[in-house]
Amino acid sequence: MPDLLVEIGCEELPAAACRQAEAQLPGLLEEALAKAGIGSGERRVHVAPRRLAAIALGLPAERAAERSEVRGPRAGAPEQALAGFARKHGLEPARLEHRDGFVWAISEGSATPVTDLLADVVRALIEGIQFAKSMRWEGGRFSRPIRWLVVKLDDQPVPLRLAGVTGGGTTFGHRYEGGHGPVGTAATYLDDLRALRVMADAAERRAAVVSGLDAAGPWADPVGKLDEVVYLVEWPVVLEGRFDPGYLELPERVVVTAMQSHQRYFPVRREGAALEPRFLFVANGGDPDVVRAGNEEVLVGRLDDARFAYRRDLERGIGSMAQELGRVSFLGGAGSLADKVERLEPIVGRLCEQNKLGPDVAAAAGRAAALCKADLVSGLVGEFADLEGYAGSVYARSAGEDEAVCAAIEEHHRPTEAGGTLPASEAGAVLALADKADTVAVAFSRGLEPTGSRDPYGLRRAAAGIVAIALDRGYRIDPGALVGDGATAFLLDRLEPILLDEGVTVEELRAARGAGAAEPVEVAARARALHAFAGPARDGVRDAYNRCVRIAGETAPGAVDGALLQDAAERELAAAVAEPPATLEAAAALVPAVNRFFEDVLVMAPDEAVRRNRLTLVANVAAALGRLADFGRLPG
Amino acid sequence: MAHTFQGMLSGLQAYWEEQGCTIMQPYHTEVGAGTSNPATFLRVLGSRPWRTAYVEPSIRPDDGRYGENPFRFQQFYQYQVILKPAPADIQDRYLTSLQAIGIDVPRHDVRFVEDNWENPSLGASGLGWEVWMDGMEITQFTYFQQAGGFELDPISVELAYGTERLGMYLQGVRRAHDMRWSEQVSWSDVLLQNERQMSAYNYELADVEVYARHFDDFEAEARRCIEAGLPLPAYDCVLKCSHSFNLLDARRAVAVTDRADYILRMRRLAQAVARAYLEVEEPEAVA
Repeated sequence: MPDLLVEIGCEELPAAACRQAEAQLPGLLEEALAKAGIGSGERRVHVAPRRLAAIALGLPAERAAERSEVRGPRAGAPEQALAGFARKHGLEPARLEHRDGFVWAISEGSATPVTDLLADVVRALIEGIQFAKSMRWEGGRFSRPIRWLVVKLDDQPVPLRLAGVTGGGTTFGHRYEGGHGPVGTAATYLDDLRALRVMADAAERRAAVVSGLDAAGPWADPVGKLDEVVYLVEWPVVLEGRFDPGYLELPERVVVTAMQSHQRYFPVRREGAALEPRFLFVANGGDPDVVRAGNEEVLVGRLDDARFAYRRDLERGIGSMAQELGRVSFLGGAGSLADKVERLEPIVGRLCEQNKLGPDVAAAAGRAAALCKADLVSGLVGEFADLEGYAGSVYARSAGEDEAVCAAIEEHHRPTEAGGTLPASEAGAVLALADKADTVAVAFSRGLEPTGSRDPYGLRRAAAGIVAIALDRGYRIDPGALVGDGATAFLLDRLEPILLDEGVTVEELRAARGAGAAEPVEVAARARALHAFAGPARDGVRDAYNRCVRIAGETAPGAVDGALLQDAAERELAAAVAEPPATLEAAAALVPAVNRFFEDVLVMAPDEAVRRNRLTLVANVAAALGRLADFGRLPG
Repeated sequence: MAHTFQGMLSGLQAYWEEQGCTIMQPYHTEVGAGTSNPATFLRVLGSRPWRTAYVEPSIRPDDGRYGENPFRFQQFYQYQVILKPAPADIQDRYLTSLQAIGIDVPRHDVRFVEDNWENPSLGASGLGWEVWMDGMEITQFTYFQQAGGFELDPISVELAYGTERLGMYLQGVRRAHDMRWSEQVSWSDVLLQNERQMSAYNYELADVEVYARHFDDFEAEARRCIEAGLPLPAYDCVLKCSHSFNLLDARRAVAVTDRADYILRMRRLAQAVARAYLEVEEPEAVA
C-alpha cells in the first residue's frame, strides 16, 4: 500500500492563491485518483508560500486488470475482415472466440503499476487548480512559476516531467535559511521540511504566529492581517518593534492605520487601555535586530508623515479645508465638491422633514453636511485614504463642533460595502443617505450609469447604501425626487440582495415591485408580506388574479352599472370589490367570490352591454388585486 | 561598496552587465517609468531574446512635493532590468544583485509580496511582486504578460529598483536630501532646485491649453508615422502624449470622465505602434 507525495514547488504564491489551492486540492486529488482507478485511502494537503503538497496514503500498488470483450464481425465474414479485427486487438485470428453468431476479442487485460498512472494524477492537480489570477511563463500557466516538483511513491522518486520541471526527491527549504535537501516519504514530509526551516502546513504556521503574538502582548488585528500573514512566511518569527511614545499624540486610529494599511503590523493594546508604543510583526527570518530596526524605521517614517499631516491639518482647521472644496472636481463636469456640499444641505432638510426627524437631528445633519467633505483636502487623508470621514470627525471635534455633528461626519461614508456597518446616529444616517443619493442622481443625470461590470463611480454600492439605510431606519424617500426617475429602478434593484438574504424570493420581489410602488420601504414591506403569506391562500389569490387579467384582456377598469348585474354571484363580487382589499388577507377573502363568479356567470354574455359590464367588473377585480402585487409574477 | 548613490548605480550596472545585459542609457523624452522606454515596451514584443539594464529618470509630475517630502519627487531614478525570456533562476539572480550593492540578504527579511501591475495606457500588464526588505518596498518584480495589447511569448521579466529608497537605506539616512550622490555632493546639491522648480511648473505654471493641444497634435502625428510604417517615431509621439496627459493631470485639468477617454486614446495608439513594430521586426508574428 504505497504512499504518494506530490510537492509543487513555486515562486512565492500570493496569499489568496494559497487559500484557493488549499480549498481545491483535496477535491482535485480525490477526483484524479478516482479517474486513474486508484481511489480510496487517506488524503492530506499542506500549503505554504512556495509549495503546495498533496499526499495520498495507502494507494493500491497497481490498478487491477480489467477483462474486456469486444464484438467483431459476423462469424463467417470474409477471412480478411476477421484477420483485420484480430490484428486490431493484438490477437492471432485463431484466438478469436465465437458466440451468438459473431466473433469476439476477449482480453483479460493486465494490471497497471501505480507509477504509470501518476503523470496523469499530478497533471490533473497542476492544471486543475482554478486561481482567481494566473500567469504564463515558459513552463505553462499557474499562479506563479513552478520551479521544482517532488513526486515520491514511498521512498522512490518518480521522474515525471511536467510544467517544465522534472519530478524527483529533492525539495527546496526556506529561501534564505534552508538550502535544499531530500524528502523521505509522505509520512516524513512535514518533518523533512521542518529540518529545512519550513513549516509546510498552514495550521501549524498559524498556531506559531498566534502563540508568538500572544506571548508578546495583547495584540489586535482590526483589519484582519493574520489570515494573510500565515501565507507570507515559511517559518514565522514574531518580533516586536517600538516607537517613540510621542507619536501617541496622534488619534489612535491614525496610528493603527499606519501599522495596518499596506504594512502588516499588529498594534498592542490592553483591554480598555491606551495603545502601547510598540508593535508586533511576523518576520520570515533574518537577523532579528536588523529586521526589527528596518521595520521600526519604516513605521516611524509612516508615523512621521501622519504627524506632519495631522499637525498641519489642525493648524488649517476644518473650516478652512471646507473652503477649499471648490477646487476639487466631482464626477468630471459635475462641478466641484463645494457644489455637492451646497446640494446636500437641502436634501438633508427634506429627508428630515419627510420623516419627521427632530430639529436637533436636522441641525446636526445640516451642519455635518457642510463639513463632511472637508477632510478630502486634508493631508492625513492624502496619506491614508482609509481615514476619510474619520479624519473629518477628528478635525470637527477639535474645532468644537457638537458630538452629533462629528459622529455624522465620521459615519457618512457607511456602509462602505454590501452588508457593511450602517451609520449609528440618526444625523449620520440622514447625511449618508443624502450624500449617496446626490452621487447617484448626478451620475445618472450625466449618463454615467454603470455598464456591465464597469461601475467606476461606485454607483451600485451607493444605491445599495441608500436602500440599506432606508430599510434600517424605516425612512420614507421619494426616489423620483431624490435620485431621478431614470435611477429609480436602479435603486430598487438594490433591494434584491438584502431581501433575498432574508429568504424572500426573486419572484416575490418582482411581484411586489409590479404593484407600482417606488418607495423602497414600501416595496420591501410588500415583498416581505408576500413572502410571509406564501401558501394555498396566496396561490388562490394568484390564480384568481391571473384569471381576471386573462379574461379582462384589453378592458379597462371603470364604473360597473348596478342595473345590469343579473346574477347573485356578480352582485356579490361587485359589492366585495367596491372596497378594494388593503391586505393580502383581505385579498384572499375575496377569492371565493371571484371563483363563484366564474362558476356561475357567463362573462361573454350574448348581450353586449351585459358583457361589457361584466368585463369591467373583472377588470376592476384585477386592478384591485394588482394594487397589492403583480401576482402574475409568482410561480404557478 | 555603495557609500554613494552613484556608486550604488555603478554596482547595479556592473552586475547586470555581467549577466549579459545591454546597458542602455536613459531615454531622451519624458517617461513615467522605465517600462515606457522603447528598450522595454517595444523590445518585449515578439520572439527575439533581449537583455537590457538602465537607469531611467522617471517623470511623474503629480508626485512632486517641491522637494519638501523626504522621498516623494516628480523625478526619481528607477533602475530597470529586462530579461527576455525570464530565466528560471531569476529570483536568485535578483537577490544576488542586492548582495552586489552591499546588502547582506540573509541578515534581512526579504519577501516577495504579491503585486500585479497594469499600465492601461500601454495596454500592458503583468504579475509579480513588490520586493520588501524589512518592511520597505525596494523593487517591483514583474513577469510581463501583455504589451500593446499583444499576449507576450516568450515572457519577459522586469525588475524596477527604487534607487532612492535603496540608496537611503545603504547610507542610513532618512531623507533623500541627505544622501551622498558622490563623495563630493549630496542629492540636494544635484536635484533639490530641480524638484522645487519643476513642482512649481507642473502644478502652477504649465499651460493647460498648450498641453491639451500637444496631446491632440502628437496623437495625430503618431497616426501619420504609423501609416508611414515608422513605429519608432510613432512611439516617441505616444510618449509625448503620455507626458502631456500627466501634466494636465497634475494641473487638475483632466475631469474624471475625460480621464478614461484620454487613456483609451493612448492605449489605441500604443496598440497600433506595437502592431506596426511587429510588422517591421517580425512580420510573420502578426500575419
